Order: sequence, then structure tokens, then C-alpha cells
Amino acid sequence: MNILIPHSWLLEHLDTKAKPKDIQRCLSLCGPSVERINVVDSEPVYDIEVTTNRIDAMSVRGIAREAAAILPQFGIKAKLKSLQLPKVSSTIPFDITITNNPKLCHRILAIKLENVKISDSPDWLKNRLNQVGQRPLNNIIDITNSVMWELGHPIHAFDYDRLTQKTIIVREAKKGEKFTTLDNKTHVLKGGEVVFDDGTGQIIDLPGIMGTKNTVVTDKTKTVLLWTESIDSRKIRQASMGLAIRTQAAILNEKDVDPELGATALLQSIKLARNLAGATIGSRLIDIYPHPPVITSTVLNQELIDTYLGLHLEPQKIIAILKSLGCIVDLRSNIYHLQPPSWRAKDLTIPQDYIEEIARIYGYHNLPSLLMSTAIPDNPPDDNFQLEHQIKTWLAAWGLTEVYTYSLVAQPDAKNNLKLTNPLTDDMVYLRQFLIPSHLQVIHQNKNKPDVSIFEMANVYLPKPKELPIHELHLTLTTNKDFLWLKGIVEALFKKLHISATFTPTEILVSKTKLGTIGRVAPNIYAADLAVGHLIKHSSAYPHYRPLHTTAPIIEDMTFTLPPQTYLGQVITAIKSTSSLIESETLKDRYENNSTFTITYRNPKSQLTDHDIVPLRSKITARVSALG
Amino acid sequence: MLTLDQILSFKNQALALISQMEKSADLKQLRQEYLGRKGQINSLVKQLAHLESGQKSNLGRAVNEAKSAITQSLDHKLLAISHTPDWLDVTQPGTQPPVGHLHPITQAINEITRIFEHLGFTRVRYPEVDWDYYTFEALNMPPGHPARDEWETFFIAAPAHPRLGQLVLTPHTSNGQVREMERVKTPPIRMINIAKCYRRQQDLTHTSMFHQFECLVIDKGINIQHFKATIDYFARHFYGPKAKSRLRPFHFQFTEPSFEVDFTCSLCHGQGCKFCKSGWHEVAGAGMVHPNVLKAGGIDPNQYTGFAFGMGVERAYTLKPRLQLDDIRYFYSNNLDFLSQF
Repeated sequence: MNILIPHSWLLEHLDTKAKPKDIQRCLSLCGPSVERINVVDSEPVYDIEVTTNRIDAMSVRGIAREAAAILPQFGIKAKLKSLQLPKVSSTIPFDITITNNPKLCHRILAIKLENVKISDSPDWLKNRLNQVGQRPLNNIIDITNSVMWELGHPIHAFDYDRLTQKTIIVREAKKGEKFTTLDNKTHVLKGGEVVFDDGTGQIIDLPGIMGTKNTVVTDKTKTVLLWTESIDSRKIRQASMGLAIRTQAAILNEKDVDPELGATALLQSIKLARNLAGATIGSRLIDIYPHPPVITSTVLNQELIDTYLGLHLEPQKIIAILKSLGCIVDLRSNIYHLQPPSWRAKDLTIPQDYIEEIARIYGYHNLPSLLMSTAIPDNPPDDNFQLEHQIKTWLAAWGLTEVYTYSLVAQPDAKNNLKLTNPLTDDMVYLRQFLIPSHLQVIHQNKNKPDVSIFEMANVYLPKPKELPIHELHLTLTTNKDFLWLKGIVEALFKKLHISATFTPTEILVSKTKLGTIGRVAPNIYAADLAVGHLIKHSSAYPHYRPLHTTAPIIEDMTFTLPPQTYLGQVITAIKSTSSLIESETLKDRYENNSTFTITYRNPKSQLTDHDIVPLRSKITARVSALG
Repeated sequence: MLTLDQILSFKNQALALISQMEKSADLKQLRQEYLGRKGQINSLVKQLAHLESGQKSNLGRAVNEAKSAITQSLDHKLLAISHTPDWLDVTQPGTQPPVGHLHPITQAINEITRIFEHLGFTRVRYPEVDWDYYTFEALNMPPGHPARDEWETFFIAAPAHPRLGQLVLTPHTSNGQVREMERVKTPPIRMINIAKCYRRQQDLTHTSMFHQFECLVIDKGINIQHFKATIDYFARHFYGPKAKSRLRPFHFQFTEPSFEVDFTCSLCHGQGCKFCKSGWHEVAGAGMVHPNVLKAGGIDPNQYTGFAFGMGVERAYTLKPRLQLDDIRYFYSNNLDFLSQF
């Protein structure tokens, strides 16, 4: 989450002569990242990213506190200014009955303000709100928004007179209850959200998130009930997410804002309401705070700090850093006994949390950079990433172009595709089980190209009840060139991998395992799809060496006239299985029904003669004719 | 009757004639005349038949010598004249073999893998569709934790596992952390997990599907300096010797301390330019492994420490010097005009 902070507002809390550029550089290295400095109203406005664990820094004062700890590390003087808060000593009775549920709400602070004159805010306040992207409304609302920005605790102003029952009951909402927020939107509650009830069942606030229309301050308001509360952060989150109301208040309150800060925020608002709206105190200050949170101490070993930093840091330095962040530090025989300030109570809970504070303020840039000299593990898993890459390299070298297509597709391609519950767009809803449809799209997209030959190696995800889906790595090759070229690529790949595969009319087999398929997938488009796991399992990095020949082969061509639609694969098998003396049989030519094979005969042990070939030749003829 | 002189004189004449030839066609004709089936050598061989056996072997050897001398001479001459071509236009375009292309992501992944292998990292592969447990819970993000919002996660419509929770498309490669601890059991661990990731975003710098690599190192005494050196090593080898890194404090639930890692802009080397604005590019999330994550992986945080970081492959690659690619959606456009540039 980001917060905008005008430079002049920061200086109301921070005494420093640091230039905005220095503040940006130093804070970014040691604390919240100052992503940009915008110039708004001819003044620098910091755009600062605050991490979710540092809700205490989500305010002008929070950033000032960080700067006061960080800038001196760079030799730049900086000091946090103290807040000038009014004292409220009124004893006028408070005439609203509050029924709290301490499980839902940890603290309530309230005070009645009278003689309020609603008007526009003065220009300085309006400008300030504009600079941080908030819309000025009227002086009272602007005060609550501005104090939230300044101190980091949300604050609410009710119209006292519109609280007709003078009763506020803290309770959980029932399913189906309705209410209208101050922006005029009606919401239906899901049940369990924390709401304020006026005793008649009517909802008069969605506390910690947004006010309701029926009790909000208007132009006619004369008396205000100024209010802060600490609703349970999980409840805030549940309601804010469930109702999709993501206000600044909700973003803060769901992350455990320090309840101690409630009083500061209320007093600061009283000060401003007096000055800007002529308000007078109309009641004593109510503070319902049954169980102030217990702040846990942590024990931290000097040795652990040194382990994490890889060097020894002097205790003096460590103590100074932790104290600059508001921690109470007690060092006894190399062990630090630490207590965080209330605003860091939820964030600093384990030794490593403090090590982070020490390390960042000391400065990561001040730590050396040294490679580890620990043992190198020797326990690789089975995957052969190198061979996967080698396969890709071969395919690219043979003229194919590698693509990466999305594994999420618009339409299911099987009976049981995994489906997203929250797709972003209609074209990415299902997890695919086949790559080919995506490849057809690629070919279509590149239809101005004469030759599109692509490949991809990617997982498909096959569901399995009660288990993780099977992640099956596929290698898919698709071309609009011609079938025999594609088949040649696949054959060449098998040759490189020393795989001897069989192509049947329906699948590619290697020792009875299905390696994949090859065929026509659309008019003039051909594809091969191979299971990479099997491919690698049956591959070999080197051949089974055979001694070089000492005898000469006899090579001759044979032409067969075959019936139409005879699978040549069968013919080849028939020839091959005729005799072990047949070394190879390659298709030389195919014209209409005639196929010519070059047949190589060899006996590795003795020299063959024409005489030896005669019976083989007729046997081949007989076997091939038997196929027809 | 054939004599030795006749043979020698035939040989000398032939060699002389061959040496005078300047055209390959003429050499071809001479080859035919001397070595062809009806050529002069064969006719000499035929004449040998009429000789007595003593003579035959002597003259036979001479004929063989003549034959090999002529053959050699023809070959040499042919080679010699073909080296003085009439005219060759070396500027005309060549006949190229088909040139295919590895996808830039593959090239990047391969380069990243090699860099970390040199540092003794083991490459692994972990699920891209995984349980909530490995994706969030084991990483110190219990169900409902606001930190989960930072990942725009896609969820799968399938019944939840009673212990491991819902099926999700992994929005990061960090699910490999606890899985690697479970696989290795006892450190040392130096893992690099590279996988597809998915997030509910699509714009100039985000695609719903992308790739990340995740490094995890666990052993006794692993410290922040080790992390700095590892990331510096990567930066120098991936971007060049001038590349530098810096760490900024950050927050992740699964690391403590946590950092964000910036690399110097490869165009201006950290001076600040139009491309980078600040001189730096934010590239990775990192930190020292949180004790709760070590515990989830069955490793004793009192004995071991570690660091981990995750980086987008697309992001890392687009920051390469002079690449100047500012829209990562092109990686998945599968436009051949784009891919054939790589």
C-alpha cells in the first residue's frame, strides 16, 4: 500500500534540513520505499510504499518517525517533533448509552462537541487533502480525514442529533440485514460483520470501515459525536472484503492499528474542530478500554544477530538503533531483553523481527558481499533439464520456431478439464490437456507466412481425484509445410536420442510404450505430440557401439506394386523381418501404386554373393504380396 | 611384344600431356582415354596376358605404377585448375539451411540455470498447480491472512484437500521451498526452481501466465552477505560486469528480514535515464527464510538459517542491455516476426 505525504506536512512532525532527494534516497535504503516525488501545488509530495506489517508507518507522523531514526545514520540531523495535544478535563456527563462487546471491539473513545459550525475547510486544509488525493467535503469530515492521514488512526464523526435513540450497541450483523453507507449505496450483510445498532435494530454505522447515511454529519449538523474505535482486525477484513468496501479506514483497521493511537487521534481532532469549526467540548471524554493489549517482550542473542549479519556488531550500536525505533532495550550478558513500542507490538514478536530492524537501520549497503563456502548439495532429482534443452536446440537448428502458448484456454478440450473459479478473461478459463489447439491458433495468427513450423514443450494438467493434477510435460510440433518433413524431424530426433521407435497408423511406440502420436490435425496442418518423460526415459546419450564392417554389402532396388492405401510401415516391417541379413531398407521412390526400396544385404561374418541373395529376394516378394 | 620402355614412355607422355591441360573437360576426356574401360591402361593390361610369367610380373608392376601416377596426376591437376575459377560472386546470397528459433524465455531460463549451476545450485521442478498449503500456509500465511492479497491468485474449482486446502495456480515459485525441504530433509540445500506461474493480471508488464525462478539456500551459518554475493554474481553474469545490486527493506510473510532487490539500469549504470527513471530496476523479492517456514519444512531454525528469492524470468530478461523490449505480452503473442528476431 502507498501513502502520499507532502514535504511541508512531514516537516510539521520532523525537524530536519534534509533535502527531499536525500529523504527519498535514505528512506528507500533503510525503510519505506519512496517510489516517486511528485510536485503538487509547487511542493514535493512523496509517494511512499509502506509494507503491510508496518501499519504504524502509514501516516505522516509514522514516516517522520522512520526518518528520524534513519537520516542520522547518513549523517543528516533529524528529530521527531513532539505533538501539542489539548487536555480535556470536562466533567459534563456523557448521555449516550454504549453497550460494547469486548470480543468485537477492543477500545472505544468518544466525546460530544457542541456549537459546531459546518462550513468549507480553510484553503490550507483543502490543499493538503487535494495533495494526497482526498476530496475536501466540509470542515468536520475534512478534519477526520486529515487526522487519519496525519496520525494513521481512523476517526469518525456522527451527527449527535441524528442518533435519536442515544444508544450505541456493538453487535454482529445478521445475514440479510440492510443498510445504506454515506455514499448512498445500499448493502446486504452476509452475517458476522461488526455493526452499531441504535437499540431499535437499525444499523447506524459500519464501524472501522464506513459511516452510514442515517447518522453522518451534514451541512445542518450542530452537535458532533467524535468517535474512535478498535474493531477486531479479522472482523474488519471479513466485512471489508465481503462487502467490497475498501476504504482507507478499512485498509488501516484490518492491519491492527495501535489502539493507543486512538486517544491521540481524538485529541488532535478536538484541537482542529475547536480551531476550524468553533466547537466546544460538550461532555467528558469516554474511554472504554477493558483489556489493553499485553505487549510481549523478546529475548535476542548477540550471537544470532552476528549469524544473520555475518559480522559482529557492537552492542552500543545495536542498542542505539533499537532505541531510535522506540524499543525498550536491556542488555544482560550478551542477551538483549526487548520490548517494542505499542505501535510495533504486533510486528516485533520474534528475534528475527529485531534483527531486521538492526540490519536495515545499520544499512544493507554497509554489509559486505561474500559467497557461501558451505557444502554443495549432491542430491539432484530425476529431471533431465539439460536433455530437454538439447531437444529444443536440435529442433530450432532444424528450422522450427519455439512458441510459448497459454496453458489457460477458452474451451474445454477434454471431459474433465480443471476450471478456474475466478477467471480474469473469457479466453483463459480451463487448464488445457492438449497443446495442438493452441498451435492451430498460432498458425492461424501467422497466416500471412508461407511456412509455419513451430514447437513447444509445456505441461498439461490432468486432474486426479483428491490429488494434485498430473503435470505431464509434452513436446508438440506443428507445421503447415508437409507431413513427410515433419515426420522426418521426429525420426531425426529419435536418431539423435538413440531411440528406435515404431510408427503404427495410430501411435508412436517404443518397446510397447506409447511415445506419442503424429498425423494430420487440420487440412494441410500436421502435428506430432510426444510425452517428454517417455522420450527421455527411452533415450540414450550415446549408442550401443557396433564394430565397423569388414564385409561388403550387396545393394539393390526392388519395386513393388501395392494396393491403394497400403501402409508402407507394414511393407517395411515385412521386408525387414524376412531375414537378419537385411541391413537396411529405405524408401527410394514412390509413384502412384509403385514403391521402390533400396535394400542392403550384408552378412557381417562372411562375404555375400549374388547367389545368396536370390532366395531372399523371392521371399521378400512373397511376403510383400501377402500383405495385399 | 610389350616392353618396359614402351610402358615408361607412355607414362611420361601421359604425365606431360596432363600437365599442359587447363580445362576440366579436357582432363575428363584424358581420364577416359587412359583409365576408361576401353582406355590405354586396360589395353596394356590386355597385352600383359600374352607375356611369359617372369616378364608378366615385372611389366605388370610397371603398368600399375603408370596407372597410379596418371590417376594421381589427373586428380591433382583437376584440383589445381578448379582453384583458379573464372569468376565467383561472393556477394550473392547463400542457400541457407532452415533457421529456427529458441523462444527468448527458453534462452533466458537456460542462461539462468547455467549461472546458478556454477554456484552449486540444483535445479528442480515443482508443481504449477499446487495446494494452498505449499503456496501460502506453509509460507507463514495462514488462511485469511491479508498478505495473501498481494498475489492475485487463480483458484481451481475442485474439492479442497482436508489437510492441504484448495487447489490454486501457483502465483509464485515459492511453493518449491517447503517441498524442497521435504525432499532433501537435511541441509545443505541450494535449490533453483523454475516454473510457470499464474496471476490475475494482464497489462504492459504483466501476463496472466509468466515464469519465475526461485532460489533457496539453507545451511548452518547462512547470512545476508551470502545472499548479497549470490545476487551480485547473478547480476554480473546475466547483465555484464558493471551490473550492481542493492537491497531495500521490505516485508514478506515467509522471510525475516525481507528485502526487495534492485539492479542497476543496464543503459545508464545507475545514473538515471529515460528507461529506468531512478537508475535502478526492482527485480526480485527476497529475504532470510522465516523460522516458521523452516519449521514447516522440518528443519530446525535454531541450527540452520537460509535465504530465498524469487524473480520473474520475463522481467529479468527485458532488462538485458540494449534489448529495449518494454511490453512483455509479446513473449506470448507467438508472432513469428517477433520470435524470429531471437
